[in-house]
Amino acid sequence: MEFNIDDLPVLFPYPRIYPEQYAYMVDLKKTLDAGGNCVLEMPSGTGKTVTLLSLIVAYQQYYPEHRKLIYCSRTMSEIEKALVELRALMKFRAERLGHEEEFRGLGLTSRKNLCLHPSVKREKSGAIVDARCRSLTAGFVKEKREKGENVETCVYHDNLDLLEPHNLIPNGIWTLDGLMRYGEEKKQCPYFTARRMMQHCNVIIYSYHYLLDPKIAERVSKDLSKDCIVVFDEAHNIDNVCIESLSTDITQDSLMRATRGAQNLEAKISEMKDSDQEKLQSEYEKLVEGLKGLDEGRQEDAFMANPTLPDDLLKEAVPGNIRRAEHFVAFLRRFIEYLKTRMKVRQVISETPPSFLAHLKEYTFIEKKPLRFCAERLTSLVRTLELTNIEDYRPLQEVATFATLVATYEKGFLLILEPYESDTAKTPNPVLHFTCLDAAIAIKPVFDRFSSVIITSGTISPLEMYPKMLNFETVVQESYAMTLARRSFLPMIVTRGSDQASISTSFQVRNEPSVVRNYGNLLTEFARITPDGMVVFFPSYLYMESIISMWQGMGILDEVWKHKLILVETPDAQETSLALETYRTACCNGRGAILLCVARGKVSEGIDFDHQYGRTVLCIGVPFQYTESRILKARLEFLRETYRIRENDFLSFDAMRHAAQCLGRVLRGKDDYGVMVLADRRFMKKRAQLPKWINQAFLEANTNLSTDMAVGNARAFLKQMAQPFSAKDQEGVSIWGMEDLKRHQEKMAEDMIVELKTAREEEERERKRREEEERRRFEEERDRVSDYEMDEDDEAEMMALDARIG
Amino acid sequence: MAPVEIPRGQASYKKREGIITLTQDKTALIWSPLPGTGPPVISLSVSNITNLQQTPKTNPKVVLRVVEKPKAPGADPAAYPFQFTHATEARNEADAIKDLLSQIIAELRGDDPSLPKPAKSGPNGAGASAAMAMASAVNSKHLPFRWFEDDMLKADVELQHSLMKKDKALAHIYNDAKLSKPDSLSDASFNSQFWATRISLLRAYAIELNQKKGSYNVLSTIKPRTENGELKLNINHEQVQLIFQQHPLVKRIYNENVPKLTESEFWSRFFLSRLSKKLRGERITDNDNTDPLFDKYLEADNTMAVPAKITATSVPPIINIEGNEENQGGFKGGNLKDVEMRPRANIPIIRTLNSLSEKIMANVAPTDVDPSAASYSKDGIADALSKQLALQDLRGDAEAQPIRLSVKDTSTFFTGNQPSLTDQEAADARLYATQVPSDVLFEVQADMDTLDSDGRGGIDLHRSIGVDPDSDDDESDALDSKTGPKPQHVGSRAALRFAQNQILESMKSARSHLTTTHGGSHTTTNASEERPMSLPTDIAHRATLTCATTAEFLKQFWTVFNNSSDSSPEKQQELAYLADSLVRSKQRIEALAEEAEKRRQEIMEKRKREIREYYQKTGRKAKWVPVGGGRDAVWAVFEGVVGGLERAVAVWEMVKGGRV
Repeated sequence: MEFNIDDLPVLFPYPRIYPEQYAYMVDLKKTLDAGGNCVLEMPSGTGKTVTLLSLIVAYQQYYPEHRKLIYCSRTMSEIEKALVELRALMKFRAERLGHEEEFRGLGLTSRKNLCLHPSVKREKSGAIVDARCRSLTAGFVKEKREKGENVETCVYHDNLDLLEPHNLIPNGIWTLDGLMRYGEEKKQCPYFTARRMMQHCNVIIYSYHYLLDPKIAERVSKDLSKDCIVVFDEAHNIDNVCIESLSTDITQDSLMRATRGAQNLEAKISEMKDSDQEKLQSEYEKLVEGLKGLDEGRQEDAFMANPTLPDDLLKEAVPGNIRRAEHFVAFLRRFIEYLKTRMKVRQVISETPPSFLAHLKEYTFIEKKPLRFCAERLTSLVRTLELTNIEDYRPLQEVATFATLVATYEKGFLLILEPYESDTAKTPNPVLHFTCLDAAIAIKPVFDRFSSVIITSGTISPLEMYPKMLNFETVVQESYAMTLARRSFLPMIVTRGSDQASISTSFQVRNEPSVVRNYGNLLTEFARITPDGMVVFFPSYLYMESIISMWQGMGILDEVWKHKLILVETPDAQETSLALETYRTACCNGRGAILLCVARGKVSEGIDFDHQYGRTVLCIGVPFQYTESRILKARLEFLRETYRIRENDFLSFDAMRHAAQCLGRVLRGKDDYGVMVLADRRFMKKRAQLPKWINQAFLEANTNLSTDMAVGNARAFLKQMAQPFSAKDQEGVSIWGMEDLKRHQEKMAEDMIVELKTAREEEERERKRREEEERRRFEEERDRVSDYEMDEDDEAEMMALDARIG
Repeated sequence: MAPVEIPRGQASYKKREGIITLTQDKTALIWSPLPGTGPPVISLSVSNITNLQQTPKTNPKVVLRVVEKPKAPGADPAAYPFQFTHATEARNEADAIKDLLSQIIAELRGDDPSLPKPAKSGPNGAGASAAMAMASAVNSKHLPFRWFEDDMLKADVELQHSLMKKDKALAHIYNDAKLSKPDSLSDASFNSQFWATRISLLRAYAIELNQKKGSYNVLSTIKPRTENGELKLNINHEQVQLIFQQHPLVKRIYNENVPKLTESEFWSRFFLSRLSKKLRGERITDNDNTDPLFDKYLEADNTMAVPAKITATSVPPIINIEGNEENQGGFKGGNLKDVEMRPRANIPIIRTLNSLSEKIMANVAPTDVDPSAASYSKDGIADALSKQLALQDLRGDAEAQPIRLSVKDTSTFFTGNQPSLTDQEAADARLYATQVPSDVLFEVQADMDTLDSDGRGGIDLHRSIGVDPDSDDDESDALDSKTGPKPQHVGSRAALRFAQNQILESMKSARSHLTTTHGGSHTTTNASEERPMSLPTDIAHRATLTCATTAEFLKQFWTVFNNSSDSSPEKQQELAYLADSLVRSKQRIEALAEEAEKRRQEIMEKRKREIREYYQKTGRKAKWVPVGGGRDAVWAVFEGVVGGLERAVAVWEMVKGGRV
């Protein structure tokens, strides 16, 4: 359908629209017009992506600025889905407009996911794919080849050089799959095609990390202009991504391997000293001029990812004591040895970066400043030495990154040394955590640089938490309700088992056989009545593993097998993908299956369980974080002191956003339906923290149920859902046709007029009141004058009286 | 996994040189003109190939003729002759392609042995030159995925019999109809007519038959119990089969050991062993039984012979969790996950659950297409995905796909006996032909509007139909009726009375449907299915059957009667038989009615006797309750049907009369 929002013509690729989609577009446009930020919560499954894309593409194409869209999503699955939706939208626009628009949209994911090189793509680890790719595509490799040396290169990458650099791929929307096919057909590298074409795209869809992680963002996204529209979709977890991108761990093992790496470097340096002294010298000279001179090292083929450095640092000369290659390696080794001695401590230590640096300086005379340059300096050295087996130097790089981070940031970070894995462990296995506590640090450059940042998700309640945690201002904050013509999902809280004993996954009771059995009954009962697919979420891997083992022992799984196949999320991603594939096949084939997974795990992000893929979602336990974690404790303290967020509020918020995310997985479209079960006594009090659209759908009676009652309700619900229901019944209520939309727009316009009128009347009244007041004041004044005169008269009279008396 | 070499050959088609080969996934035969790299000009889906023919070895010309299933029913099958042109290898190339093709086709057909095989039709030799010999006769019009085509269902006698075995009522109708069919109607044509209208039943049944129950996790269903220190085990043949299928290791152990052990000993020891625990995915503890035989195999591999799926396929991006984990690339930051979120990875049960489920689903085609499969075009996957992602309810209701009902002008049947139009009618017809409906309507409308004001004071409706509302001249009507039938006035008293009677009659009849008499007491029950109109159950049952067969004949009669405009003698003959059977149907109803009446009389006699005896015993008179059922009841039940029969017979007589 086609309609206008204010002056903006929007093409929406469906003949009808959900009311909340329209409201979303209006608010989105308001945000873009104002050039500000917003936080929008749109119910899961109401077509958020297509709404967002329709409006923004309309905006891009209509206004002369043609602002570029940077659309960030969390997982490859979501990137691919967004690209597919964009592709369908552009197809629709082309049909409507009668011509294909000059438009290019691309997605970017890691080398591992996009590689076509016959041997590199077979590597199982993404890091190795990266390293091997770099060793085949680096600038100096090409130079060497041009000099006639026999070095291996990648033909897919080399072919790109034969093409026009701004036109590596034709206009259009390229899904990741389509990009791979095109690459295979033309023998060109999909990864570098996407990377290099980013400048010439109207829409880029990629991972959060390419904007948030300073180690990558600098190289991937630096050339994007200021007026880009930035969207973070599925942003309910954005603070954790921010924090992750600035945190790192050092283990004893990685220190050992770093030492080995440093030794190798030393050997290489002395080798080069004998053969090519000149090269080292020229590097030295460049370093005197500062890191800017090494800018090529920051290009796309840079060997290693480094944390960003503030611009002023780039212009500065690299400190003298690490300029010479051998000095730098010695410096690194000293630092590594220092870390090793600190690892020997057998008690938990947590300290701030300044305290760490002070201690470091006291014992090793290492200053803060050279430490900041570590990562860049290492990159430069690796480049000069023309090393190709980068993988060997990764631990060394980790240490260098750690050094740079610890010397760059003072506030909002903490170092925690844990000598033992757990409180009960006897053998030490020390880990030094460098942990970021403040999510606002990583995202700050994004807010500083781009004027419009849109943060949106299906479950991002409470809205005000995000501006607080990420420290930004919004133009609009809105949570949309879900308009429904029939109750299409049934949220329930189960607090008791069939034996009326309360159920909970709190640490004290979660392994009690009665609780486990009650959860088992809940599982079998729902397995019995749910058609097709059913998804079960557990609060953690550990608990999932233990409860599954216990269920097997109790014969509960045997019972479930009678109704469904059983599949489980495993630590291995590939295995889980296959399990998921089997699950989906069983759902479509009528066999039916249960998928057991973890609320914060791999499956809970980016995988949908709509329609037959999930008719019941069962959330076993409140997915709290492990509260004994020192890192979490540190973060809670920081949030309390800095942003005035209470510990319990945050913990509860964090648990409920994950629970809500799990529940939202089962809906897509208003013709879809599903049962949502929250099974834990503690959910009863936390209900208010669920997103508005879920909370509104709760019947008061369904917030404190036993297993039997819940099963009865669900059975009745599923029966009702099996009745025919056509789109006609929804019209005007939960779906608008063109007429409904027009009526709504007219009403909005009328409301606006009325509002303006009242405002004007108000103004008029105010003006009158003021005039009145003024007049009164004037009159009063005049009166006062006359009073005064009268007074005079009075006085005169009184004087006269006096005189008479007198 | 190296792809199997796919044969290629130089071949010309319609005098153009080109390359013939199969697609990588072996689903289509493709031919593209030289140099053979462009998109194929001809692409034949292997599943649509019905016949392959090749010139015999003695012939120097090597031609492979591929016959494709007709695109539209009734169309001629398309044939594609490819002449192999390679100077020396033509024969070998052709053989390679032919062999592969016939192998694939055979596989396709052999896929489903449960399918009823259609009768083989002769080789499709239309236009085949004498030099061509049959290379491989794989003629069958119906391929596995075209399972339930109408013709096939109609021809499948076995299926029909088994359906009738299941559906007794249908069998009754069939037998009844068959018995009463005119002798001259052949069994075959009767069959095809009978089933033509019941294709949907056959199809539903065929689908039902072909649906197989999926396999299940068999170990979880077997629970050995120990009673009085003795193991009680209850497993059947099917379970053993499933165990072997799901756990190849057990099959191996069985093969290696069973002659030495007895069967029952094998199983009882197996279910107590650590191995069985392991296969169930349970943790083995130290107090578990040891068993020297089975413990040997504890570490053995229990995978299937098929290569691990992991390396063979890739999953599409939307469920690719590995891809999701590797999404950002580069150096991964973040702290170690807390202890609760670190999986221990050595939980046997989880592995077991997944691998078992995968084994059970192994022979089902996955729902999500493998993106690396070459068979999907560049846009195919994206389109499929976008369909999956689309919000169906925003697209509106699916467009209705009505079945067009084309009513043929039946008047053509009557051309022979249509009475010629009277002059008046003809004149009217001429007049009507010249009039424009809208103008006429407008005129009438205008007349109506001005009725009141045209000076005549409107019309008196009563008078215009000849009724005097003020007269109570009942007699005049009655008198009239005595003197002879007189066309009734609308609104006349007689007409009103008649209408009233009619309504009362129908109310009465409806009531009698609802009330039945039982053992003398007047009870009102729901008009039971078994006893409509108080008919005895067996009579009622026969009535239902008779009704169904009669309806069947009526349906057949009208189908043939209205179906085609041809008036071939065969059709006439068929119609005559059918009309004959209609007449007999009526006789059947009559017979039934008579029998019902007889029964009613019997019941009445019995009642009378009872009353008499009662009177003799007690001296009191029991109240006489009228007995339902009987002839009238049957006729009432069949009222509609009989009407239909009479009309059909009348039409037939008329047509026949017209023709004669």
